[in-house]
Amino acid sequence: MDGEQPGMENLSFEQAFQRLQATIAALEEGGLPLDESIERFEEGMRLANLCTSMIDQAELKVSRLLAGGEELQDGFSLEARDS
Amino acid sequence: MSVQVYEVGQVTDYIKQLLEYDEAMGDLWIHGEITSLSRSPSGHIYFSLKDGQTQLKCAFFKSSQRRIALDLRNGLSILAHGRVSFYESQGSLQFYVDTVQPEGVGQLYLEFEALRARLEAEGLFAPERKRPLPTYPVRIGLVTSITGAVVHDFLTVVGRRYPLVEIVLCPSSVQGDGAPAEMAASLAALNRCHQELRPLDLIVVARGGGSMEDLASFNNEGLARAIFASGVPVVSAVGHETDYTIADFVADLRAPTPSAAAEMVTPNLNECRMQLANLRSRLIRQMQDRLDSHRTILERMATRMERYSPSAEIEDRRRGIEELIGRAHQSLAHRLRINREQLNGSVLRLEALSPLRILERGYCLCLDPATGRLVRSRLDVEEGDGIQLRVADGRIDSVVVGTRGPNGERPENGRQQPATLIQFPGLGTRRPARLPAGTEVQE
Repeated sequence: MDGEQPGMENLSFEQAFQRLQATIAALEEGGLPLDESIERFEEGMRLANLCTSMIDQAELKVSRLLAGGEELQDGFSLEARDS
Repeated sequence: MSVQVYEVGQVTDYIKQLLEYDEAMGDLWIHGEITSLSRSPSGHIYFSLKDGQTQLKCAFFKSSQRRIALDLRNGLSILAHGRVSFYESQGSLQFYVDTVQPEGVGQLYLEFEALRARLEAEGLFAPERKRPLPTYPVRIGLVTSITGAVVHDFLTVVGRRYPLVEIVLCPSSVQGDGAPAEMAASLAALNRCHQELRPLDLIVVARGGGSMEDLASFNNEGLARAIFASGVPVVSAVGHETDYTIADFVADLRAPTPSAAAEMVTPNLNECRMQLANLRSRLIRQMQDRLDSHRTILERMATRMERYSPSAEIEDRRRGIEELIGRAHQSLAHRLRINREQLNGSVLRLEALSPLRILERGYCLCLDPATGRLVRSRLDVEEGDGIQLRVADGRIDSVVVGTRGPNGERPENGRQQPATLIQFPGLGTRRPARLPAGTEVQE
């Protein structure tokens, strides 16, 4: 179980999604002790909730690369450009 | 004077080297008419290109024939691109064709085909080089003009489909002489960003539609090599549904338009939602199944346990104990009944012996009220003495008026005669000598 719980907040959507799939696959494969199954289940539900909240809160970020690739300017917007 | 003599192979090697060192011979278009065409069983095509009285032997290998839309036959005039070299085993000079075009195409197209053939031969388009793109990209580099609809369309489509992603925009002109170099520089800049600032999953190089001349920037060798050199997979998105650019060939993925590119490189969030819902229900079903199966196992075990449970024996023993208690109660009751009966018998006997019983039969006791002693003899009293007659229902205080012997004789010296029980027959008839058992006397 080490290394599984920490850093769930820092997962990307893909990582969380893949871990969710892996968790379910492990459960479906069977053979886990019940308490571990329950832990996996809880982890899976946390991951599913994380993915859902990521989707719900997603907002496209656009940044602009400056100075030949050495600096990034966050919060680029077309509207700002247009004005 | 010495004469230099060579081996044949030395000469053919030299000729071959001469031809291959010559840049013009390595990359040229030749116009001519096909003659003496033959096809080998392995698929290679051999022919000669004829021009008036001169001929040049040509070999068009199967590996180069991938993109010919032309039906080669004798008498057909064509433009053929390739390199001239020396075929040593035949001792002949040969033109190795890598692409053919019908007569009469433009200069731009010839250049395009030549570059395509050369880069293809070099392996820049190799299918095994194409890198897969992630299904769920985190960060996408975008090389396009900051003015125009392309950037807007791309961001709109990505924002609608998959707003989880971050776009790193590196503006570049996409048309004009400086465009290829600028795009190549943007690709390099995004690669630096990938390594030093934020990792990128892929880079999209995009431009709206245009004529063949408009798209010339994307048929540039420098840009092709920059795409090839990119450490991040590159998607070309040049707005042209039918024609391919060199950039399209080199890119890891070719999208027909910038909007199509936006769709191809991002998953649909709605599909993600559905997948997520599906995964969630699978997760829950899995856990429920698991718990159900454990519950079943537990129930089965409980049933098995019951078979070995001591409760049945405990029940048996409890019944045994109850029975014993019941028997104990019965035997005690029986014993008590017997005792009670015995007691009753004794009481009756005792009652029978009681002097009171005798009184009830009509006898009375004569007592000396002073001493409480029984008067047993007429000699115990004298005329005028008070006596007390005890009867069944009380006493009668009396006075002796005289005494007589059994035969009516007067006492001589008193107190010698045996005591007499005085009977009061009247009393004996007034009430029953003995009460029936269990009833109470009503007075």
